[in-house]
Amino acid sequence: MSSPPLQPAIEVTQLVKTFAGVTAVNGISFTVPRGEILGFLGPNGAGKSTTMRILTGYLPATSGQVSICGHPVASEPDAVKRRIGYMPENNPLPEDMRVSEYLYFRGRLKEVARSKLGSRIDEVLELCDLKRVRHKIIGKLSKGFRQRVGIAESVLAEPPVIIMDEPTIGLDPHQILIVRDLIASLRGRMTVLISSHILPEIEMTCDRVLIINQGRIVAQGTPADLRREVLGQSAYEVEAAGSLGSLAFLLGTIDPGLSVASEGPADSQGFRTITLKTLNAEDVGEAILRACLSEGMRVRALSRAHPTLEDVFLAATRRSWDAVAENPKSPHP
Amino acid sequence: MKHFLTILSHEVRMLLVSPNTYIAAVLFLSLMGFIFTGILEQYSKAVQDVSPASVFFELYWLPVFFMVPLMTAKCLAEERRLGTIETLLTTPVTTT
Repeated sequence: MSSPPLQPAIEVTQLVKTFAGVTAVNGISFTVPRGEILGFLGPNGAGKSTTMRILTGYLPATSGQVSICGHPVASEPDAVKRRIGYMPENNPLPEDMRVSEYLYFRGRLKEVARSKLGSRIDEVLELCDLKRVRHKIIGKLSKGFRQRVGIAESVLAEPPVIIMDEPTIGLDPHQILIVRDLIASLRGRMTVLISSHILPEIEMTCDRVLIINQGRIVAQGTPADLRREVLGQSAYEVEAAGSLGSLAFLLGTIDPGLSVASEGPADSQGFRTITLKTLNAEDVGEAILRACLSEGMRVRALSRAHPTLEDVFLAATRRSWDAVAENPKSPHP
Repeated sequence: MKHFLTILSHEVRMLLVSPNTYIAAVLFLSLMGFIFTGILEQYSKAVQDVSPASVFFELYWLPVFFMVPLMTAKCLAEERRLGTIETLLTTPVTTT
């Protein structure tokens, strides 16, 4: 590539997009360094697809700046289009073409040299495990195969930036696994921007996650950072039998913020689930266990609850909705 | 007009594999045939000044007027319906 390697792959500054008075994207700014896999999360209508379309140059932005590998999308659309591989939502494919024909056509459109195209098509067919269906008609393929044809097509010209809008939608768990491995295999070589509703998916493949809601970024960072930042607490679950006694006091000596959040009903053997919460990020599991035992409680299990990305997502989007409700700024002019 | 030839060859190939093209061709050719027999019948009744071919090609635009939009509109509509226009416009093709 002609651009210097230090420039970030994707740079978005104060991006705004309005459709007939409705603000779809409202002042989004983010940067993606080269070789990173960025997950784009958000509820329906949050502006994910709109942002991706603007990144590819398919939609013009209302205001703000977007550049791919240092090339602004608005003034150099051609340079940008040579550097991206884009797979839109629902993965549109022509129904009456064969897989290899389609890849050949797309390769020519993406300016892959005719002499290299044949071997490159073989490579991506191998990569996406499509060799068996290379002569089949796309309209007759199953959803999983079609999705993989879409992915093969987006990596065909070896672009430095790949943008995929919900690549795993409608796939079965086995196929999701294949697609996930495929995306993970691109790590380091290409910058990948994917959006998804399937949160474990994003958590496993992405280096960084960006949560947007109502056109604004509500949280960003690595999945671990997000957990700390958005939830800001860790929880422990203790399954124990016996009276609580002065446990609350003892817990206070371990960590002033530690408290009993809830207490479940006792089962037939007298054990119940006690949930403890703390704002401290350090692991105080051992201290809790000691405190319980010194109180004469019988402990069956102790675990630190790991908030999933799902909790983070719900907390982050709820937080942004609360902010909108408190400060009612109508999106309509 | 970059990649005009790539897209043209793609579209022509797509037309050749589609049965609609052949139906349209049969309709077009039979219509032209009827027009031509009509002209020949006129000529067999009386001597005319101009040749039958020039009369035929003067009328040629009329069926073409309907045929061309019929075939090209389908191409565009199909691209839009399937959403492939989005993938097409995000490659380095230009419309001007």
